[in-house]
Amino acid sequence: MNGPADPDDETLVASALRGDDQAFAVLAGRHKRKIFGMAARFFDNPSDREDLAQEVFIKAWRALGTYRAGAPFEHWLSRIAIRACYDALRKSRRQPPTAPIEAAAAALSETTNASARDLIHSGLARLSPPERLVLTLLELEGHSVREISQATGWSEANVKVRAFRARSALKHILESRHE
Amino acid sequence: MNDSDLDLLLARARDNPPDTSAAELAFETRLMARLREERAGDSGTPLVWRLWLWFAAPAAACVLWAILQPPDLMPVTPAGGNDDLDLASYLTGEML
Repeated sequence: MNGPADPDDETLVASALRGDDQAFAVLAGRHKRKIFGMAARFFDNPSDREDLAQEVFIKAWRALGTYRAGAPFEHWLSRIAIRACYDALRKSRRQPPTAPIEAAAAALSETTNASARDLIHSGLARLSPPERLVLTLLELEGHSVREISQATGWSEANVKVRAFRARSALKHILESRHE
Repeated sequence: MNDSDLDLLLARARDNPPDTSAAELAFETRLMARLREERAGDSGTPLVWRLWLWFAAPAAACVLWAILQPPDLMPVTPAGGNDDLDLASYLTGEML
């Protein structure tokens, strides 16, 4: 909850639109963890994450006038972040993850959270950009089908189909490496 | 691997997000610096357009000058307006 000295997002947006950069800095500080977290699901390199986070907030700053008061700022920002992630994924080649998937697969039996994350990350890195985007947002970032549909412009049915295919592909990748 | 195994792995990965706290340090400061750069870039006309205008302005001025000249100052071709007389002279043999 925001107190008098801690203005809500809408107030900060209004101030930023009047040219108050400090208000926008407060907004960025409030939501940076979410954006960095999403970027980290897709990119290993810290500088790539930083670039993406900056890109998201610069785009948000440019588009602040289109933000409709009343809607959660976080959702609006998430849509910008999802599009930015997808653009960055399409630009970047599908690179092999830093940790070989064989090593990650061997760690499956250990079932620690970190090894599970590495294994999933290794598998996701081998999917196509749309498959990776959908599965990451749906399964790891906790977005709904509707949110993904709104952010990407794909129909909800299309998102579901992509998610289904992505799950199958991921299972296939993990099985083939685990055998 | 069955679906429940995959769900288990995904759940563990979801509950254990990458640690980005170090990267987040002083992010606002870097963002504000970038924002000032963006604003500086936006405040003036972009460099490409400025260069284009610099080179196109003299050419545009010449074209405008030529268009705005009074008709009597425009060069007249030697044969302009005398075609009928020349034809009559030719037909009557005066030119021969």
